[in-house]
Amino acid sequence: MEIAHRQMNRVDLLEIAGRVDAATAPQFKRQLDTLLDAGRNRIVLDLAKLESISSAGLRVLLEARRRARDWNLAEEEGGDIRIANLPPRIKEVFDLTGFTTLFELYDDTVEAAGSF
Amino acid sequence: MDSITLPATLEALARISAFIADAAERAGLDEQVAWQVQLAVDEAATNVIQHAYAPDAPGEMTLSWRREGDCFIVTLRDFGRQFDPGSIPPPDLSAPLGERRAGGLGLYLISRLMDEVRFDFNPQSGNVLTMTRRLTPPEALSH
Repeated sequence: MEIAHRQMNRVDLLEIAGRVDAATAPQFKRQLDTLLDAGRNRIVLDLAKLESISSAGLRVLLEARRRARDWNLAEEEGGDIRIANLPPRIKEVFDLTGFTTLFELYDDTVEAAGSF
Repeated sequence: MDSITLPATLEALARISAFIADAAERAGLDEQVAWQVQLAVDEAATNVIQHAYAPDAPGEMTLSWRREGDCFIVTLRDFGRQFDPGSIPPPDLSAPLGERRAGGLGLYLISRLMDEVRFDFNPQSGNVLTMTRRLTPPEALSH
């Protein structure tokens, strides 16, 4: 797994490539937690290069989105984790596990970043 | 029949994925099925790695595959503590974000991605998980 981070004005973009499994999920969690700890709670995940994700990775996504949205902040300061470029195979896992309805999905990163 | 024995540690997952990819190719699985089997085996191996042995004393696990007619069969064996699949509550897939349990998806994914899943245990042979995937979708079979 490789993660590329790009900080934009209001949004952070994380590009996740490779395999997110139980071995790599902790690194993924650390990256998300670092942003959330710093108050950067508007995050777009670009999953175009994600090859596979197991339940360990889904767990990280779920907990991070909960953290991003669960802040007692005014509406305009509230955060979220939104997903762009979900590959068909990964979408299949999202469909099987009900994650399709737990996350806001966008066709590309521009649209996802602009949704904030 | 082909098999691989590895220490039950997280570092094994990438090797297991490569082993199953190679097996799937040799068994003639199409890409979509191969990928689904890989994910199911990843989940099963993760369960063994995280629960079968004491964290400071990981034992071994053996992964084997065979092709029997229309079936691709994978077995995963370990000699750790007995696994009781009935002790894992099924996930509530319709629960909203705030109420979703973060865990419990692994076993569910295995059951959805494979056609048959069987857990056996006895003190001599340890835990043996047998996962079967039919290569022909049921609707494609001639009646």
